[in-house]
Amino acid sequence: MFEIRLADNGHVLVQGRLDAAQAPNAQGFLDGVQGKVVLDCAGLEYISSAGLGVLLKTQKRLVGSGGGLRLVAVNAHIMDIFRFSGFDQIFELEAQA
Amino acid sequence: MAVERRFPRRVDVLPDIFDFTAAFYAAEAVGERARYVLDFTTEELFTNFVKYGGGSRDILIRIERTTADDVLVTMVDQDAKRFDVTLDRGVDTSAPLEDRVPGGLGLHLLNRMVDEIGYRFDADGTTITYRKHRGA
Repeated sequence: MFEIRLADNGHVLVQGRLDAAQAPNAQGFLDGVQGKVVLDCAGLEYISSAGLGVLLKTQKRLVGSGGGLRLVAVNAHIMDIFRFSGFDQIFELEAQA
Repeated sequence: MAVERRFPRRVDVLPDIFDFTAAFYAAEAVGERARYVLDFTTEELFTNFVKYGGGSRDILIRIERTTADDVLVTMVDQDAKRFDVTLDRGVDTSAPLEDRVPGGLGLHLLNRMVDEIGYRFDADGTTITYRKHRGA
């Protein structure tokens, strides 16, 4: 189960499991965002390398035009994945409280 | 407890694989950290087989709890080409954004996160085994 949508506060909400089967859906949505984007990961349970690839492609595009992704409410397991990938150096990250 | 099932070599069966592993994790009280690492590893290896295997036969996944309180997963693809997933692919995780490419990251991560991984390629195909302590 995976969902990605724009919330009322302008943040992008991601929920469920972002795996290889769902990566095209996520990419399709994120290809449409512009500028500085907050990705609310409070409901994101799991991300695989396919999901990381989606975030990387999006970040490259946004940073290239002066924007970028900020990921907030990231759970501990996913934060580990970001650290091991070095994504903590190329994304603005905020851990789940 | 040990369970096994064969899955068609299609990415859209990932939810079925995760349902299969989740039932095992629940029955064996596998901790959250181990669940994440095992599912991450299973997805990465399964999708590699799908993308690069080239055959048509189903892929076997067997999952069991060992006497050492590890979860041991065995994945067998009779059609896979030789590709040792345990080798270091030289992924630079400190590269700046402009130099980053997604390829190889999954194998780098799973090799870092599992407790042990083994690879065998012979006349029966490719067999990959990996283990992670069950955890709390």
